[in-house]
Amino acid sequence: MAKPQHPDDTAVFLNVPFDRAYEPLFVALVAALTALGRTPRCVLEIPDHGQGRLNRIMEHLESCAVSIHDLSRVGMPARFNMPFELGLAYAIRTLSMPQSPYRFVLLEKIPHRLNRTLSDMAAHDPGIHQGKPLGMISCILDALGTGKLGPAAEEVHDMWRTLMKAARRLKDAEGKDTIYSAALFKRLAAAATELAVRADFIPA
Amino acid sequence: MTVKKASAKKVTARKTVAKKASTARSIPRVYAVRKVHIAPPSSATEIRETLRISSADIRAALDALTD
Repeated sequence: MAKPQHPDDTAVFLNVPFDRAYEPLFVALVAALTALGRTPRCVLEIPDHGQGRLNRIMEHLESCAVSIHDLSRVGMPARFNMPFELGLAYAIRTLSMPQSPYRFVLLEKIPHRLNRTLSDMAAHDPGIHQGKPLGMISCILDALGTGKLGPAAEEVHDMWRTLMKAARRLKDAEGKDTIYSAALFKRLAAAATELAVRADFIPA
Repeated sequence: MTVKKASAKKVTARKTVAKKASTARSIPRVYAVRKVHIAPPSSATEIRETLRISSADIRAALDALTD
C-alpha cells in the first residue's frame, strides 16, 4: 500500500455513524471543521463495495493528520465500523507513523460510558456532545480550534442552522432520504465552505 | 530505645495518600480532546480542490443556499 509522504495538516477523517438520526450532528461536524478551515474527509468518498475498500480507507486515514471517532452508537443494531476504524487509526498513529503529527479525537454522547464500552481507551477522555449540534460544535472547536482567534461556538451554530436548510434542499433536489452519498457530501461541503467564507471564518 | 507507635488515624491517612499516588502513577491520563492539532486554516479554494468539488457541485450548493 502506497503511503503518503506526509498527511494533509488540514484534512480531518470522520469516523461517524451514517444514519438519519445522526444527520444534524454530521452537518454540525462539517460546519465546525469548515469554519476552522479544515477539510472533512470520510468513507462516503470511497465506493461502497469492491476489493481494496479497506486499503482505501487506510490510505484515507493516513492522508489525514487528524481523525474524529464518534463512539456514541452502542445500541442495537450493533455497529462495529467505528471501533474498527478507531483501531486502524490507533495502529497508524502508534505503529505506522509514530513520528507524524497524526492525532485522533474521540467523541461520545454520554459522559463516562466509553470507560465501559471500550475500556482499552480508558486513558483517552472523549469530548461529550450530548447528542446536540451545539455540543458537537463545542467539542470540535475545543479540540481543533485556535481559541480566541477562531469562530465562536454560537457563530458556528448559526452557520449550522443555514447548512441544515441547505442539506434538506440538496436531498430534495436529488430525491434522496439522507445526505450520505458521495455527491451530496461534496455539495454539503461546498455549501459549508461558501457559508464559512461569507461569515469571514476562512479566506476565499 | 523507645519506638513511638503511629496512631491508627495517621496510618490510615498515609495509606490513603499512598493509594492515591499509586493510582495516579498507574493511569497516565492522555487527554484526547484538547488542542491536539493547530494548523493554519485552508482557504475555501483549497478545501474544494482537496475534495474535488466540481463547478456543478458549487452551483447546486449555491442554489440550496438561496432562499
